[in-house]
Amino acid sequence: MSEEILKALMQLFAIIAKQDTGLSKSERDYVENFLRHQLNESSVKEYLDLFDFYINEGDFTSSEQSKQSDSSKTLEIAEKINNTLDKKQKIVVLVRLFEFVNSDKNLTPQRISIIKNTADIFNICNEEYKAIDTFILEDAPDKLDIKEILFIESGDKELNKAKRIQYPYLEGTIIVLKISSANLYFLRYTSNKELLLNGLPINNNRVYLLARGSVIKQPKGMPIFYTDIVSSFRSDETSVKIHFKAENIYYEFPDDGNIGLNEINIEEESGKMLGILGASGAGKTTLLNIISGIEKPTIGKVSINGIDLHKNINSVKGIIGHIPQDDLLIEELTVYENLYYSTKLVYKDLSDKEIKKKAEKILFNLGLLHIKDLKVGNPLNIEISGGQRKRLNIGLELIREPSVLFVDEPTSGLSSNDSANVMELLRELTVRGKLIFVVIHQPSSEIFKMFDNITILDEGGYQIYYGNPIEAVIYFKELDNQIDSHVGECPSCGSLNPETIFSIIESKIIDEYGQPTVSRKTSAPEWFEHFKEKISIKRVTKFYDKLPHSFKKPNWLNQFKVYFKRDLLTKISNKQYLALNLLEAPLLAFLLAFIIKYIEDPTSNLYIFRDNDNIMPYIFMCTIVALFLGLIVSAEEIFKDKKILKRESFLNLSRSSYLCSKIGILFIISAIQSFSFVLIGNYILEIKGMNFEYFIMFFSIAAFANILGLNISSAFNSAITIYIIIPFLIIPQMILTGAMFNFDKINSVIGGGDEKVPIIAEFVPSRWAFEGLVVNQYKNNKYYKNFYNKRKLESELYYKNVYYITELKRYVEDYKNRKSSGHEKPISKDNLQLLRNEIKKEKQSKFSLYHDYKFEQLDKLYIKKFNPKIAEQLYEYLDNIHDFYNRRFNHVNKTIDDIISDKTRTPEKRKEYLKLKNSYHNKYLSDFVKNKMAPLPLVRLGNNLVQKINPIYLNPPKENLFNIRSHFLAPKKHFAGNYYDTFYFNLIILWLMTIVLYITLYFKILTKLIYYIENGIPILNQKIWKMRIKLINFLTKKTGI
Amino acid sequence: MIKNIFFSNIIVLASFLFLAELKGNNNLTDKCQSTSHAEGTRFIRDFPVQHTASSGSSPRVARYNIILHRGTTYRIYACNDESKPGEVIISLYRDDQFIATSYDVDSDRHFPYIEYEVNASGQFALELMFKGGKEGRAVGILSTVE
Amino acid sequence: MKENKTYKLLFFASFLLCIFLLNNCGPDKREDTSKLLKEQKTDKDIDISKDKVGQMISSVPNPVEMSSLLQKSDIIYSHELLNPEDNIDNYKTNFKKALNLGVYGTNLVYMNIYDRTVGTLPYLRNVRRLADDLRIGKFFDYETLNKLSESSRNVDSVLYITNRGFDDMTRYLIEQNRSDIAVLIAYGTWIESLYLATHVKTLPPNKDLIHQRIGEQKLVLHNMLLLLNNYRSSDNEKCKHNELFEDLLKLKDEFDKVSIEYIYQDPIMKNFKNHIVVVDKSTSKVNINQETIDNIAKQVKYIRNKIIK
Repeated sequence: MSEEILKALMQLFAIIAKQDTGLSKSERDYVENFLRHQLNESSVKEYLDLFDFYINEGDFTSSEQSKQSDSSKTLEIAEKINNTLDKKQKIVVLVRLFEFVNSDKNLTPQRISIIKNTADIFNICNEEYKAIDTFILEDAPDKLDIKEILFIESGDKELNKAKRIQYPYLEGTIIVLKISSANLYFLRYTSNKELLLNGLPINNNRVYLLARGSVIKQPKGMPIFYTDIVSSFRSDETSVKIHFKAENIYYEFPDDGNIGLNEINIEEESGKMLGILGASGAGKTTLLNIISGIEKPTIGKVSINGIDLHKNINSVKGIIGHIPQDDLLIEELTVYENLYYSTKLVYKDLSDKEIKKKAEKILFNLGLLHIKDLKVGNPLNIEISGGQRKRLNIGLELIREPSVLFVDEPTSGLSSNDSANVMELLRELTVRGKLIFVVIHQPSSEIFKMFDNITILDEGGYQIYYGNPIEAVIYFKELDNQIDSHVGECPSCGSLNPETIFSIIESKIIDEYGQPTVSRKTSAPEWFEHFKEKISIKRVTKFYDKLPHSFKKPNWLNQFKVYFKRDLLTKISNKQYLALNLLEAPLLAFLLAFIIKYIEDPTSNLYIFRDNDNIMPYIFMCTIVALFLGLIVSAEEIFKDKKILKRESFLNLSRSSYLCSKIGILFIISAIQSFSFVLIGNYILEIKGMNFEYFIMFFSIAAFANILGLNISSAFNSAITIYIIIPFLIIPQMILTGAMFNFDKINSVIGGGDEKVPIIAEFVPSRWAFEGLVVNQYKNNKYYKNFYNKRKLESELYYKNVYYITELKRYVEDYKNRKSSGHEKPISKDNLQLLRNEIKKEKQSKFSLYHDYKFEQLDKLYIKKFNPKIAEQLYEYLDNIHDFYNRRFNHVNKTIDDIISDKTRTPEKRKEYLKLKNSYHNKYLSDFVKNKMAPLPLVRLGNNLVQKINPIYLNPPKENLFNIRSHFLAPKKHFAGNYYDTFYFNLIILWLMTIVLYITLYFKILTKLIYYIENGIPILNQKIWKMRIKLINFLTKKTGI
Repeated sequence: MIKNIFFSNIIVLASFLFLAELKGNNNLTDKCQSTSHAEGTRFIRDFPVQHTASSGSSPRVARYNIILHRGTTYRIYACNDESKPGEVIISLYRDDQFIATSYDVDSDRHFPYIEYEVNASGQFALELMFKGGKEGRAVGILSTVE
Repeated sequence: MKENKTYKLLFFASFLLCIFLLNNCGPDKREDTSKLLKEQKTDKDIDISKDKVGQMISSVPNPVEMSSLLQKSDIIYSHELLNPEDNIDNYKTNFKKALNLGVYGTNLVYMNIYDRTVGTLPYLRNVRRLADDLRIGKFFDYETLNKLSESSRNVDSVLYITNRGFDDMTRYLIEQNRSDIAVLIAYGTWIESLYLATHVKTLPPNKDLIHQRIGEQKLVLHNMLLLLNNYRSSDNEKCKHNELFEDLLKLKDEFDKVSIEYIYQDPIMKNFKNHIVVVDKSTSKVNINQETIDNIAKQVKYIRNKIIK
């Protein structure tokens, strides 16, 4: 009890004492006695003096005035301490006040009214007030027959409301009061026979607070445990009884085969709290994971009401709650919101109002209602205390009302006060019929006593104790042959030191110099032998209630909505994140566009789109920026939620609805970013009439990056890894976009200079996006779209005319020359093959429909059959089609020229034409798509000729039905016999890639892959290790060292 | 699978042959310009000629009109494509009047170049043909002596 | 079960999207160009003998000759005479492009001869662009010229490559039945040379040489008219060559006032070890007065400015 409360209590005692008759001897004795129980000798004196001071303050006359001032003083004091006391302490104060008044049976109305006032200010409800009143002031059993009271006696009188525990040989009655709201039990004993509470004799005229883990014992017979009392009170509560049993749990670590747990047995029932204790590394958390169904035991069975937990996890999952050591809170949300969304995710049928009510009720129960609108914040940036965080974490599980709770280290990192608070919260839950398993590392005495049962694990996973915590101390002391081994707790202070247990367990053999050695006195297996020998686990009656239904989780769409809202709220509440994300794109767009807004003519200030050398790089940057923004936005998303996800996966919630909600929000952010980027970038660079296409492509690549980011964020386990990964994802994409490095001029091992885009670049989304945008920008702009098809035809004819047919003719000419000069081998097999291939293609080309020149001797183009006559025919054929192409080219060229001269006939028209061209057509982009820098217009690849110039005018060949590959910057793409516009085709490819990534995300393929990779490494390590040993052996043999 | 792709790629790339330059005639011009005949001259124009075999009595002739100016010394020379049998003969005419030729029939001598100091501007004609009407390829070059 | 459904839905939706996109925007609905491929009698080639054009076009002087003369006559370089580099945007049709390819080519040679190599880059670029647009860019070795333009020591190489490029283009165009374009390039080249020669600011003492040379262009004019005559057509509206022809006729009126006296004497031929030196014994004299020159200049300027407009 704190100084302040004691002071207040002294004051209250004094005020009450002053009423009516004044202080009696017994009252003063009570105060002294009370203080003696709380404090040491010197402090008792101090407080007693204080009490006397308050008594002597003012006069003794009970005038109306002083009465009034007393009652107002009471109010004042009560109000003052009201804020500093918690519910329990208030109850204790109230009980003490009654006890004080009762000490000399001087119950004047005035005294009672002061107590009543205090109770009112303390907000103690009337029922409980009355129950305390009855419990302390009444003696007649029939008066005491109320539901808050329990009799422990040997008889079995008829009782209406009160409960009873039969306790043979007990003289008199132990009366126990339960205050449900504070979960407190008070006890008094009506006889003056010897009875020990936690080893200390009970005084028959005192009221005792029944602490957790207390044991009541008479010299003869079995003790009565705290939990017996608690469960008696609960017997009428209609909750499902849970019977939990873990039999012979044996566990080997899969990695190295080390034994983690050794024959563990646990049997518990509803309303109990079991502590799992042990040194670190003894397997506490492993045990918790096994009995909560997260991991499977190697041997053994865990059952809840007879249902095997590991075989029927889904039918049991609903009643199991698991609270890991980690924080599961969403930092950006408030306390209330955290709970609210969790509630929404588990309750399908509840209306918003009901959920709100439920959440608030839980917050109230957790004592968090007053901070419900505070943001959770992160542990470093404290908004709410560690204890509050922990309680909220517990609340997240409680909302589902699980019947069995598994809690891992709830007190780690908390102050002793917070620890006690959290443990009390858990304790209270047992009262509501929950079965709770708590892993705890070296609890304080206070916490230690809260457990109904503890089990202690020792090194190697040996179970060395199971049973009452206080008995544990005695058990180990006895085994250690210590003096006063029968005393569980320190008789004077009521505390016990769990440390003793561990120091006994781990005590070391002392060597002859008095120094402790490394070996233990009693090894873990020895303790285990003792345990098997001496302690049998108390069998609990088996009652197999039907398990309650799992909570009703909402359907996919509703889960999606909840996730979506929760995530959205999280994002919105983080102002910095929001502002950065929304401003990033337009700022980058401005920066980029402004810097590259190039005016070619140094003497002019007029920006001309056509002359800007940077449009291609701009498009390239667009795709890279989109990729980057998309990745950055998403890269940490799932990783951040990892713990929460783990919990939610426990709830069997739909992963896809979670992912879709994530994706939905990311897509919205990316869409906004894309829109603002494109709008500003295109506006500054005066790219006209293309905003939609840029937007949709920018957005698509960002969407791809979003999902890519989600993949890595779900696969990697630290933020730093994720950010290290990002360059690996972006830089190859930059390299293989085709903008920085011409595909004709990259390493030929990966396909540089090939006919088609290198295979590796087919998997590069930025390439598809870039290509789509560039092709679209070039051929679909307002100026060029009317020319494109004609220009394309012109280009095709030009290529045939100038390069292709000329080249084919050259092969035939070579043959003729060599033949006439009597060369032995006038033509090579390869060259003939080439001629065969190319002429076949030529015959199939669309142009062959427009002329009548034929060459029907393809089958003669073989070494054995080829002769000057055939060569002559071939040459003639080539010559003819050469002329044809020449004529057609001239015609098309003239036609286009005519159109242009028509469009530029008058100065006005010319101006208009120029304006159109200047603002829609970019000459540098045009150079790029025509591959002006190509070292050669056509190349020989194998036995084929491949066009390298003017890729923008070349449709890919219709080789095979489902071949979608083509050369870079093809104007159209081929699929299933048709040509499709490159822009939309690429867009679809991008989305298909995105869908594939979604599938890998959903099935955690990347995660699995990484797991396999990492697990491959130990094997490797082993091999390396073995080799090292061999080497060392070899060397030692050789050198003889 | 991937191995196969790599392998086939390597095969394709092994046979990756760059095509010969398409500008056959220019090679000849370049070659001709790098001979000693071109020293101290400024290139004016080249006259490529490629003929298939024709009868020796009336060989095929390529004729080009040129205008030469007074006060300038011109140099005219030619180079043969060595892979062809034909040897080129250049003849210069003023209008239709013969001025000079690179081949002296009497002595059966080829002169590598003709230098011509022009004193009267006018239209000239340059004729190129192959000796004996043989098949041949050559280039004639007109330049000024600086 | 539920998730399966959503998957099906998702795939279905994306499938629909694909179909939509492909149908909407896939197959090209733009104009069909195939009719351009059908052979018609009307677009048979203008029936001019390739050989004949090739033979005559070589008589159009090379810009090097005129520029060399100007430089040797100590005439000061004047940049303002050149066709401004950014005029290139005005040239939209093959007709204009070809003419100005000749003009810019001449400018390029002029600059090089005067060692103004550093400033040639824009002209070089213009020549390349026009040549590209005319689909004859492959004959113009831009890369090498660009490299060479960095130093002025390579003037002869530059001139050689430039000249050869123009020769190749001309030959190629004739070969490809596009001699009309070749003639236009030659026309542009010649007019620009003439323009540079007739618009010399300060004449040097030996101006006679230049006047003589201008007068001698009468021969070229004659050839030019013959060449252009091939491309004239009855349809004035369609054929722009007509206009050029008309302009030249006006120029011819001025040149008619020039007379070239020519006295023939057999040349002397000296056989050296490996070459022949022919010494011309004939003489020619160009009679031209200042007024004629001025008139020629005026008409040339008129034609030239029309070209570069």
